[in-house]
This record gives sequence, C-alpha cells and structure tokens, in this order.
Amino acid sequence: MTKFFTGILLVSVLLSCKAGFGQTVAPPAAGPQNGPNEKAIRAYYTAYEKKDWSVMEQILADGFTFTSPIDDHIDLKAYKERCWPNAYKTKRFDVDRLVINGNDAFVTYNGWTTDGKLFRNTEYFKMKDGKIMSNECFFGSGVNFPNSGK
Amino acid sequence: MTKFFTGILLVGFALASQAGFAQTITGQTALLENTPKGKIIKAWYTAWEKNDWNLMTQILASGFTFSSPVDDHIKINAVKEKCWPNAGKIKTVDVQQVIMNGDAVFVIANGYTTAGKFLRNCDYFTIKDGEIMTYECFFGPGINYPNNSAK
Repeated sequence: MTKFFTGILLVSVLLSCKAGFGQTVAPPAAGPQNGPNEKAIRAYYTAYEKKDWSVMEQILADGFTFTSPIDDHIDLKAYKERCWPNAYKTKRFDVDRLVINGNDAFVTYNGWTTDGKLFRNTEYFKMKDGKIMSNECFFGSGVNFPNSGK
Repeated sequence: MTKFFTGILLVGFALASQAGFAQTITGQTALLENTPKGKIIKAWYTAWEKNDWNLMTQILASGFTFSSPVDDHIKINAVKEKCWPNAGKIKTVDVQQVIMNGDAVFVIANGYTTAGKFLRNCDYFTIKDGEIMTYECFFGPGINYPNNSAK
C-alpha cells in the first residue's frame, strides 16, 4: 500500500507541476482586463508554451512561491527542478476563465497531456508590481486528482 | 485495489459534498454581503450552514450542476442525496479571497471539520439571472486530497 501511495504521489507531483504548461494558449476568455497583470499571467503560460525559462524569470517576482495540494510554497529553484520539465508532457492548454481584481487573479483551464488525458485546475495568482508573486494551484477533475476517474 | 479506490472515492464524495458547509463564516465576507451576486453566494453558504434546503432551492437555477474532482456535473437531486446529509460537519469557513467578474464568482475558503481537520478549497460559481447556474469545487491542501489526509 505504501508503494501504491508513493506511486500516486509521484504522479501527482509531476501532474501538479504541469499547472499552466502548454504548447498552445487559448484566446482571452474574460473581459477587458488587459493590464500589466494579465500580460504577466498570459506570459507565464506562453513561457511554458515556448519552453523559455528566461521569459519566466522576467515575470516572476523575487520570493516567488508555487503551491498546490502537494507543493507547499516551493521556491523558484524547486519550482524549476520539479515543474519546468513537465512542459514537454503537456499537449494543449485552454484558458476557460480568467478574472482579475487588482493584484489578485484566478485562472481556470483545461489542460491536455500528450497522451490525451484531461487536467482541469484553477490557479490563484498574487501579483506585485506587474510580476507574479505566487501561484496556488487547486485541483479540479482529471489526472491531477487520482480518483476522478478520468 | 478496487476496494481501496472505492473507499477513497466514497471519502472524496463525502468531503467534496461538504464544500461550503459551515456553522460560522468569517474572513473577507464584505463582498458577499454588499453586492447582489455576493448575496446569492452568501445565501449558498448560509443555506448549508442553517441546513435550509428551501433557501437552497430558491437560489439554484434550473439546470444547476455541482462539480468537483469526484462529482461530474451532478444535478440537484444528486446534490440533495449525496451532499446535503453532510451539512454541519464543517465547523468553520474562513473566506480568504473573493473575485467577481461578469457571471463568474471565485471564492477561496479555509475550513475546519468538527473533528478539527483542515481543508482549503477554491469554489467557482457561475450566476445566471440572479441564480447559481454552476458550482465547481477545486481542491487545495488538506483532507480533500487523498495524500494530505494527515493534515
């Protein structure tokens, strides 16, 4: 059983780190919110689309953290090690909803792995001076959640 | 293994269905109290808090669906059957963040069960003509996620 749990955990780590990584980015799904914060958030996804870490470094604020049900405020170094390589395992990324209020934003997306599996998550961004201070990923249906049956 | 999965699934249903059920609601509730859409969302939490199914039926649109990682667009009858009996098992809900835009309302809330277990969810509502059309629960850390059961 321990081995089984470990297996789930490893899969989950890989999948959670894929949050926002895609080869294509859908057009804007929400209204006129084209300020610097939305640009940075969309650049975050574009960075993964193009596998361009230098873009990512430009839009992440000092002290950036990434959180998910299985990542507790990991820093930039851990994020690059654990998450960045997963860009190559994501086929497509469609933004379903993007809403921004000041320095807070939510993005809900449908992601598709290279083998056609869905992962649907909501990410909560905190912004500072036009850069991303933190990203907290909440798991919806799909392969991120072990028992969703998808 | 099948039995194990089923066990997790059942726990998942129970927990997912508890989303938003509370005996107390604290935190950033001003938006929920001072805007038309916010009042509808507040009524959602209040209905769970007070176990008021009549109030719930007043704020849900025709065709309402409830989703979570383990609930795929279930309808109102299934919500009442699966979820409603869990009302009262969440002791507190602390609203951390609310953003509204168009028909969308996002809420992040921390909760503690009556047994003292932690959960943190992101609730995504869509509103149509003053009623809740869809509810979708996204799981953060805590008991909703199988490998975080120790939290």
